[in-house]
Amino acid sequence: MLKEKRIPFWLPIVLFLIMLVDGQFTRLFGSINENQSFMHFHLLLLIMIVFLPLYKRRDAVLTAFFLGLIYDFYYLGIVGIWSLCLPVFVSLQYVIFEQVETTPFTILLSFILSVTLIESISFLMQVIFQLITGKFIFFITGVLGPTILLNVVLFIFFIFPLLKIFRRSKK
Amino acid sequence: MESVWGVIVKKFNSNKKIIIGLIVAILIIFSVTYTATKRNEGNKNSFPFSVLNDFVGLVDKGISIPINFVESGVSSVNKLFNTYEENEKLKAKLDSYDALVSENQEYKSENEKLKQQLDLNATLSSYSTVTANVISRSPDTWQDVLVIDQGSKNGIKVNMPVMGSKGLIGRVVEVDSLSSKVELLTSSNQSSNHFPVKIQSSGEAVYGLLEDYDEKTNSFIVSQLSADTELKEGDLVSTSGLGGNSPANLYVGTVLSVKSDSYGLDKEIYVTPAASLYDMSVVTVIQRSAESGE
Repeated sequence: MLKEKRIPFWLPIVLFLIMLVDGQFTRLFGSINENQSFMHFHLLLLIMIVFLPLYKRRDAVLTAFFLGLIYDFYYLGIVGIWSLCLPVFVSLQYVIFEQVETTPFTILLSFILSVTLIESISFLMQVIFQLITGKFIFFITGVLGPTILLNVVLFIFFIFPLLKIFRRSKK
Repeated sequence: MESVWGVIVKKFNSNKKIIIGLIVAILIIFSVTYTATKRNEGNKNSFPFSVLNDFVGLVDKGISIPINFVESGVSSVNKLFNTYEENEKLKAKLDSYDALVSENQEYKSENEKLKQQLDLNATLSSYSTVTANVISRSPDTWQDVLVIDQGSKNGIKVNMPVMGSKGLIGRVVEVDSLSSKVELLTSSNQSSNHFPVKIQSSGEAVYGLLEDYDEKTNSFIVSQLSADTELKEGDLVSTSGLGGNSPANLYVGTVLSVKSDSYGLDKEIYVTPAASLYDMSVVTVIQRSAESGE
């Protein structure tokens, strides 16, 4: 019923800006903790989890694909990593929220799952294509762990304002 | 009764997902390999992608302004804590500084005269610089990439070395019209070029390749050494100018320790970087003056 709604034109633009904000904050955290561990800021994913399932599935997946494409071009110069991860992630949200109700707790679970999934896929793909010499232990302790920790904190900060907007836009 | 056609359509529908999956996998494999090879070839990006990257870079630059403000605030507080200690160290260094300056001046003029006699315009150690602001850093840990706000319009080309505040930090991997990407030496990219370096040890220079970065000790690893000379902790490491991309004598860091590699045949030298590899807002791109003999 809700999923017949088309995505308004401004939503992809907002998501794009939030993607860049994510990048800037990731840089900020990196320079504060002196690259001892890498915390990736995933506000974009949180917002996509809350809002995209409101809209038509095909629109959402396409939006995710184009965002991923821009990410790949701008940050990596290698195309096909985030432009795969993001649409997969969005499709997963539709599968999940068809079965469960949207509550803060289910969003948290889905968020942690998505962060783990995206970080792992992007790491594994780069290892498989031999773009990097993957250090698996460092990936777990230095990247995935701190990232999940940071994003749980992020979730606590942002979920209630986001849900407020969510309820308003659902009407 | 179900027609043959119906069965075929049904069968196709159940296989549809597999087929779509396969097509996506093939497309992904193709695009990743293609773009990765293209990036390693080191040509300038084609027009639409260059425009896309420049546009995103422009928007990102706007966003980075408040964030940079916070960052500089934090780092200035950090610096305040270290000031006393640093001041003591600097005072000790300063005593010998004046003598060094006058000595350096003398060497410079002498060098200039000797070059004139030899009709040398550009030696390996002469270069020009382009200063650039850092717009962003790739949020992907593995491809450690900085986006800077100078591009091919400002004379930047692929493979130029990039210096941080004190020493070498990376090289240019991709150039657009108004922005470019710098790969840091900390990245674990397998296919990147390695910097040829030399280690000054009591008069004699040892040559090697800057091959890897060790996260545990926060140091570079230099291997494939040219000689078996004993190296001490604190020996200076700089680029050698061999290999055609980088000029000579760009400061890299100091020797931290010397270890044998895992086969026990070759030595690996751990080098403490001179430049900070996390706190960067301005970088300098180095343009080598001497043409490489290709």
